[in-house]
Amino acid sequence: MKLFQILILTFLISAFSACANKQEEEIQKQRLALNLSTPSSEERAMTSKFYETNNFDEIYQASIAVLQDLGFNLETADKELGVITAGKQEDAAEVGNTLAWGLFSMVAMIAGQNTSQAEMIRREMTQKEQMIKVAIITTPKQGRTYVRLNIQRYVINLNDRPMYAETIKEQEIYATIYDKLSKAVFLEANDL
Amino acid sequence: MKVLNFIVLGLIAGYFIACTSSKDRIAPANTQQLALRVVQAKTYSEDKETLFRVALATLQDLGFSIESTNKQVGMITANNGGLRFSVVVQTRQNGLSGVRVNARYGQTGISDASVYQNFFSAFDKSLHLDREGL
Repeated sequence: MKLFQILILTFLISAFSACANKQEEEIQKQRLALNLSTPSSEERAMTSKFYETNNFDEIYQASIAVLQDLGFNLETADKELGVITAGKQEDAAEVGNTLAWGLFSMVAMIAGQNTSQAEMIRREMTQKEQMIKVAIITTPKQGRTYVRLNIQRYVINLNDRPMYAETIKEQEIYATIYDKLSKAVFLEANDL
Repeated sequence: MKVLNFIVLGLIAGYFIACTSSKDRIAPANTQQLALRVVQAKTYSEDKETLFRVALATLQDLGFSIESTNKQVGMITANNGGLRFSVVVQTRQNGLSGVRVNARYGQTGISDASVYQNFFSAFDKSLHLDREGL
């Protein structure tokens, strides 16, 4: 029986080491961020877009509107510099993460381990909320309008303590926002 | 023993769904842009400056504390016990101006039309008082 329990614990650790490694990678990334490495050209292309219009106001207003469409709270705006910042708080629970550490706690209890310690680990390792921050910079450039978008998020655990922070690098998230911005430009132009 | 079997099954299921991302909540693809704007925005014949001043007064009437303002952009952010409003006043075509407001409470974006109707109802009253010079 004991051997079986050890096997399960081993399986548990190995099965979810992928997620644990991911968190470790994030911590490593944050350490590396102190080196202030420049973004690759792919990253720059992913986070920016040119609009074939010299109507700066139109793009700037549409950028504000798209952030409102996405439920962000506007935080600061500086039209002279073309800057808009916004944030929103969202649930950060992920089924895999919650289930993994919930099961970890259960197995520890069944195996007769220190339950309060297991519960403490579970709360430390389970994602609860994320604070998402967006900055959009709109700049007129050679008869066109250039938009640069950056997104960061800060994730906190069930103990309301910071777990990790990261810059979003998923191409599809930027593509979704730029797609909505293009629609917003149309809607703004038609006073909708 | 049965409990352990369940745990093993749970672990296997968990392994396959592990690492699904909460990043999907950053920019949900299915946001109804136009439908949202219908309830969150209203057009007026007053100029941008008047509406900006009225929006400030309305938020104060509703007990909000003003967090930041930018008259050039027409933006106001305000908070009332965790309920956060972002108001944007813009010049529209044909001498019209638009007011757009979006609200959020903690992790939840407010899509309930009644919240926006209440705001615009208070806004219209405040605008009426402004027209009367009160």
